[in-house]
Amino acid sequence: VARGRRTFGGVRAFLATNAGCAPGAGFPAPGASGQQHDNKMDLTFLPDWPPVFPPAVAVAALALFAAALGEISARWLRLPRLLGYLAAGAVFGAGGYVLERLNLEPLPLRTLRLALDFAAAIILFDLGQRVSFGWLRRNPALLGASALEGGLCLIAVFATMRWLDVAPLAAALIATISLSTSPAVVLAVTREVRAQGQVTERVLLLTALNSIYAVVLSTLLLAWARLDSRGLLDDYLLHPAYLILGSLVLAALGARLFHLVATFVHHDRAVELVLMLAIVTIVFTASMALRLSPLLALLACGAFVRTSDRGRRLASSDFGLVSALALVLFFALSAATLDFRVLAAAGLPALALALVRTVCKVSAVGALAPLTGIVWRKGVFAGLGLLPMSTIALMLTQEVTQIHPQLGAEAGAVVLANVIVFQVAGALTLLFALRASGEAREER
Amino acid sequence: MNDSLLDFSKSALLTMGVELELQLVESRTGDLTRAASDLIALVTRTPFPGDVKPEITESMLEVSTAVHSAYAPLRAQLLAMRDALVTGADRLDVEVCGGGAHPFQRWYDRQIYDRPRFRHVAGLYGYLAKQFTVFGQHVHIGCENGTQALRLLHRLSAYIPQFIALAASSPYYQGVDTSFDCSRLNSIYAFPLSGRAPFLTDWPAFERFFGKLKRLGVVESMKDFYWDIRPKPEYGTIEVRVFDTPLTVERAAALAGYLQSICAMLLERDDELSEEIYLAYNYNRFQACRFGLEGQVLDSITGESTPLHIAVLQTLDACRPFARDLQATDALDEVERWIRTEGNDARWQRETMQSRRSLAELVLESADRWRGRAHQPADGALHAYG
Repeated sequence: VARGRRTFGGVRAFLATNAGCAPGAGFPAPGASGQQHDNKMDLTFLPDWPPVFPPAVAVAALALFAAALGEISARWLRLPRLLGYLAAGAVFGAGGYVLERLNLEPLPLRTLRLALDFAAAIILFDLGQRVSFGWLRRNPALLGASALEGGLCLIAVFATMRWLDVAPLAAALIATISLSTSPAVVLAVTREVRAQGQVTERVLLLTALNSIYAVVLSTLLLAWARLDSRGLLDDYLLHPAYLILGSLVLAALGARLFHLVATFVHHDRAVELVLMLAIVTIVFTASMALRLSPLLALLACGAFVRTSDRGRRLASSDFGLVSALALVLFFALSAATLDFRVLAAAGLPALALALVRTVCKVSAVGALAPLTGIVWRKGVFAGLGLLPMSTIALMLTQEVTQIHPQLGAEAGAVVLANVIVFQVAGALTLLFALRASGEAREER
Repeated sequence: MNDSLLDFSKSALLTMGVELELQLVESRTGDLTRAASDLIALVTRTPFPGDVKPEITESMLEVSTAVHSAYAPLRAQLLAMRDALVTGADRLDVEVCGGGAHPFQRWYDRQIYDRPRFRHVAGLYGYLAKQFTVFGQHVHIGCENGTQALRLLHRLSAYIPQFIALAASSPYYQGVDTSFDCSRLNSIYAFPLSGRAPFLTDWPAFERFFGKLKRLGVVESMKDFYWDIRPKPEYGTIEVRVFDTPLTVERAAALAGYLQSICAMLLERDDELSEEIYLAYNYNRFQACRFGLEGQVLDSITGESTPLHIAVLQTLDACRPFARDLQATDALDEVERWIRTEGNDARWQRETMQSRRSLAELVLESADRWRGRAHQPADGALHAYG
């Protein structure tokens, strides 16, 4: 680990010699004076050279680098900032080269993952708040369209994977994960261009919904996988029931706590942000401690917070700032942890997944649009907006790998190759959709 | 040069039509949103019970009624249009909202609706066009000829302060309490051709005036005048434009009925008109905008000063006989109830703001009111009167 680090006894020795040569010249450093009387100086107060930084500084350096590349992406290329963040992360991640040049210790993967998960937690909570159960009640066709889009995608991807000889369980898992749209990309791009309108609202709602489907279905699937290997019926029912119901109860408790405290701090922006961060942290850590699904718990918590907001306290709250911060970290860190070699190994199934998923989402959302109250052209734009992949797919693959390493490896290669491609391509199709539907409000 | 553009079409006397400019806001934050084209496309899939058109920005909508001779069917049509809009808006998760101005919208965020005339207006007026995202109710009153229309227009000017104060619903603008009950008219005042119409009392004189301005290139059509009341020759009407869009359609209907009754009363009079009536016009207009029903109006002939709420009660008494003939008594009762109990919408907005302390919540409460949710008990009260 201490690659190329010299413990600079050498420097100390050199300094001591120098001091000896010129007695009385002294050093400006306070506290050193006591030692000046003897000709032998104790310089242990000086750090090792080069100094050892805690790994967290690598995150800060990465954030700075990401901010700079994000600006380049936005100002010169007129592209979403997240592309710059991803690029920064990729450079950092690539063999730790930059870390080495900066003489920084590479982050332990666990710390990195934790930071990444926490950033994702904030993003999921933020998206959850955009889900209006009221809207689904007033326009049930939306829920139908969302379910059909999900179902079509699920069946078509599964069939394609089977046709390409992917094992049934892995095929099902790939299909489940590919349902989801990346909340991080969707929030980042819509916020950045200050998008407003039906395409925007629908992309946000459908993203939240298909994320929920993906989480619930993959939970069931994992239980099925365990049943497969162990053959206990309890697992089939108990584990998913615990995961899903437990996560929902935790989410409801978190939402209740949020409103309880929010009542006291009516309309103080700063305190509201602190409150939100605290609730996210509590729900996130509790879900890990209780071995629940952090994904589901945080999405649901956001949605419950909004739905139970009878006093409309949230109307004037804006968590955009915290969310924006989380997004920078999320993209940079996720690119830093991704292993780009999966792209080379991906092969035909990954390509097929990309094609089938794109066709399903765009055609289903487009065709069903008139039933939900907009013209089909805008539906196609909304479908294009649903292509980004990252947050949910990454976290789910990770979850699967923890519980079922072999299955994770099998499905992971196909999914991660798509994540790498659709983090960027999906952000671009979403940006195109928002611009083409006139919903992006960018300064010229 | 085509003066025939100004031929005044004959209308049935005292018929009326109402146009309402409405706000489209986000159901989550209460901020203005872009939804006009989607909502119009949705509500016109089935026959819309009236007319609906885009306005200058995507967060603005204009609905208008057919021509009515009585208050009750006008009110019924306004209610039907409201219900159609609310149903459509629910499917798009946006809220429709009355009010003369959006309390906290930032005008530089607004996008101009993509139509040639709007592009022209935006190009000509620059930031004024975007600042112009204010929302008014326009009521047309049918006249038989241009001269009659002009004479009615000038007589009506004495009642403009009452209309402003009764309809005032724009106390909050750009995020602050403007201290005005009606801040909307201040925005309109920035336009070069706003204020009162010139004192011309017969149609040929008006045509000559218009012809001159057109030759000078100052105006192209009657649309370029933003007067408080303007003649609308192609419809054969005068159009009263000082009303803020009220927070409910019931109020919009009652205001139209009240205006119709006053017009009926004024048409009976045939005294000589003099420009003296305009001496205190701007002063009175300011009083109404600033203080609402608490404002004081000066009679420039007698020099008498009256609080506006008293002036409204006096006018109600004077025009009741005419209202009876027009079947507009219910409208007058409703107006009287505002004066005696709840005041104008600006007062409701300030009271709501005191309890909620957030402009976003105020907008969402206003949207509930527009749906008729918060207005249910008031409806009952109306029946008790009739």
